[in-house]
Amino acid sequence: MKAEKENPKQLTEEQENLQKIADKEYKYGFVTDIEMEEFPQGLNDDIIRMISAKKDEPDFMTEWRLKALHHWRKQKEPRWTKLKYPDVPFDDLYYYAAPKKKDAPKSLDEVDPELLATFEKLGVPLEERELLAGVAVDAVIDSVSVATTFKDKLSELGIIFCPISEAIHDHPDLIKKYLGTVVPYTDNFYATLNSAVFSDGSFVYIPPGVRCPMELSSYFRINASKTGQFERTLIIADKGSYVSYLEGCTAPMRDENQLHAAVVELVALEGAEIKYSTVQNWYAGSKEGLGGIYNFVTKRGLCAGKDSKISWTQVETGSAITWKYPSCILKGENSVGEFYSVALTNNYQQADTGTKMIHLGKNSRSLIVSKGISAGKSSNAYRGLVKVSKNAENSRNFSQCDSLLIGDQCGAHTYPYMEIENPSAHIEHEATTSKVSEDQIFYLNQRGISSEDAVGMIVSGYAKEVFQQLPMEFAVEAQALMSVSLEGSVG
Amino acid sequence: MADIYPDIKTWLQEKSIDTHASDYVLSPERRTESLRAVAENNFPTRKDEEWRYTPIANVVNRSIQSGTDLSIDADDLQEIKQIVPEACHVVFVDGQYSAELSDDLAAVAKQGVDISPLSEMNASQGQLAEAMVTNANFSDTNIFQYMTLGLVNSGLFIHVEQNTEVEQPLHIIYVNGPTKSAVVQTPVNFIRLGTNSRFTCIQHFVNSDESKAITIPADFFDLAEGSGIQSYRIGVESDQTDHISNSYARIADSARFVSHQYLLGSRLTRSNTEVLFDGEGAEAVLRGIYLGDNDQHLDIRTYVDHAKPNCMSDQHFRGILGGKARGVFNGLVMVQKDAQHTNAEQSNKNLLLSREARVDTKPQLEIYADDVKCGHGATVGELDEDALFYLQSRGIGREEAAQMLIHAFAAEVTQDITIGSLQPYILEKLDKKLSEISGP
Repeated sequence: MKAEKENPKQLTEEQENLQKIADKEYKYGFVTDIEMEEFPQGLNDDIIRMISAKKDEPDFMTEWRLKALHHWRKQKEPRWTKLKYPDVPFDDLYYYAAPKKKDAPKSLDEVDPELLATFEKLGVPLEERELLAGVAVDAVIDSVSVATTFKDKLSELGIIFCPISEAIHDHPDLIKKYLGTVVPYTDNFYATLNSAVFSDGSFVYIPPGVRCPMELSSYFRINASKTGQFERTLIIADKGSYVSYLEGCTAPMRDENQLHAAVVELVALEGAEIKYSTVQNWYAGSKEGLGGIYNFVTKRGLCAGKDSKISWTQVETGSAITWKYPSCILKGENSVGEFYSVALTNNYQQADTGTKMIHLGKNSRSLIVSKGISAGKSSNAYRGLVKVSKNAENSRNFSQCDSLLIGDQCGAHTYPYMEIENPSAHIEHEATTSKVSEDQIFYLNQRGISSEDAVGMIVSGYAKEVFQQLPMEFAVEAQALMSVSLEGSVG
Repeated sequence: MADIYPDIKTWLQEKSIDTHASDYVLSPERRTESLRAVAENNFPTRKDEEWRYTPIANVVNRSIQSGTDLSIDADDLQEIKQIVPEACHVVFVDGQYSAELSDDLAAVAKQGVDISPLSEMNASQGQLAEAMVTNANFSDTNIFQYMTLGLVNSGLFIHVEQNTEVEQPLHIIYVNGPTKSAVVQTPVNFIRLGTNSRFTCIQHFVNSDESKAITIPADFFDLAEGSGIQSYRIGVESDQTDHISNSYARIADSARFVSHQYLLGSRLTRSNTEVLFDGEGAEAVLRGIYLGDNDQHLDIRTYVDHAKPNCMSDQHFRGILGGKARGVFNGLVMVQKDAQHTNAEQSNKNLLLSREARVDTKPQLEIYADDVKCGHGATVGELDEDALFYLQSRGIGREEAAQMLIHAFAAEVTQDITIGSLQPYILEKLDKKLSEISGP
């Protein structure tokens, strides 16, 4: 308080800096001019059949999609969050959009050069990554996978990494066995919608005892105007295997809100481990709160076998609305679930995110580390559930949910739910709320560090626990994203 | 003769048309409005977020009787009074004020506190009470509040004069005699503290093992600048009593509201405490223990609204659950946009003593100001094996060791009790009940 009065100059500087972040333009805002193939607007049995036919899917998939659609018609859109947004005109959306093509490209040479240029601008040069980064990228523009690299190397080990549409053709047994087992088509409004209309996504299968030699990665991108994106990802880690999967997102600038309702299902069998990392940087809307992506995602992992482990790491900086609760069902004995999250909201962004840890197996353990950062006029909520069922002897959970506020116009909320039915459980939850203090900034100023850099440092330090969980390439990108969003936001 | 009704809905219908309007102590408009709300609203179900963990079907479906014979054992009552011998005792039987069993209220007035039964309220007091209801902005509005307000015909209006420190605590005792069906009691208290005044108030809900009751009380507190209250709520009702209470406290500049809740009895208790900071530099301290056994269901809800800057709130609730008991803590700290320099703490710790016991806890923060210090924590677990072993290795039996640890767990909350004789009473009740819960 005192410092403010004595030093009004600094305050104005701070406000200017705040203004600066507010003015920050979305770096990846552009539209690729590729001819799009679109279906009629709206949603009915015919559209579903068309989507299914277009993809030449076996009958069981068409049936499954139709069942989902019929169930969806009976469901109500959930509105229990603190999120405020206008109704989504589900009947006016296009449920399928794909770059027009004659034949599926077999190599990068056959890929539309303009599309490749898009990736170039996004900083995802496929060829380069292929050579330098050692990352296999399954790139999705709108709905269809355009190019998949490193396939050969992976297939030598028996690893299947392909678009899910391809897996439906080539590996129907695996699809039949696992699709919808973790997130059934009846799960929730958005997951059901996704089940009915999902266009594409990634499929990963790691055979028993195989340790996937590289980080699997997929870039999703929303492109065509008015197109809802409905990716579906299914990852299966068979006994004793290990895989690390990366998902990164950018989307072009649009004034219309775009809907994104993805489903991610993970299955870890006995002794298997899945590490799923996300950096989400979709268009967050203008500084007046116009446009931006509506991101309603259902992500869930099943630790099916003994000693299995699933770890979610997410860095959420984009989207106008984020509604996302990556969860773990800890069914196997000694199974482990982890959730590391950094969620940053600015301007009029709204995020309601967290996790669910459902302890069913004996000696199951879970760890939750959530770091929320709110700036501007945004609202950022952690909502989580830790449930210990009757038979989950000796289960353990530790949750740490911190919030950092920058500016006095934003909101930070914590809604942890703990439902404990077994006395041997050990459950601990802690949360704190704080702001970047003037003392901290002053301390760094004193050592010749500008206020802007100081905030960057403090926030990086605050979120460090989560960044450390990210694979190297992602950690760099995430740090960069944070500093872009936070530059000058001296509180 | 007592009339019997199959359930509370039928009873309410009768009661609404009933002729009790002449007994009604608030404005006729309040009565009409509240009864309309009762008719329009349904009982909350588990789909209501605030009632998610507390099913009340068993409360709604109980048979109700109206009118009782008011037979109270004088010796028992004397014993209860002796728990706080120095206090001024006021007794309610089946929700009705009993002048006969209560101390002389005129004598208390000399200390600068006016305590009147609602039926003797004067017009200006009536207006003040009315205003307190109007200003209470419950975050969880439910049919029980409307029931209390629509039916209220008893309770106390308390006004502490400014700059007065009332040394004698007020001990309000709610008792029931043995009945065939449940008696519904809906007492309401209006407690006003003048500037810089001090007051201590104990609400003691107690009845015999044969008593059947549904207790639906409401309290409205209004604390003027610099005033302070110690408010105790002790629930030791029979296992055939359901208890659903709502309290609302408005706190002005530099005032201090301290609430202690000890929920040991009843079949189902739902206690909702809401606090509004309506001034700066004020403080709210909420303490509580819920100890459940058998099929007991104990639900504590708190809502602390930091609407003004520079206030402090500190909540600490502990649950001990044995048998098939269920405990619920559902707390929310709201920090409004301008409430800078808020300091809010919220802690909930639970001990599960049996395989069938269950706890659901939801400590929540909603924050709209940046320069604040807010934290919350929650834990659930069983007795620490190492601690038990430590005591056993020193020659203390396992049962006794467990008792010691639980006693210590509870004592961390009871140490904040400011009334000398009350602390041993609570601890004794706790220990007695604990000894009945089968050890781990």
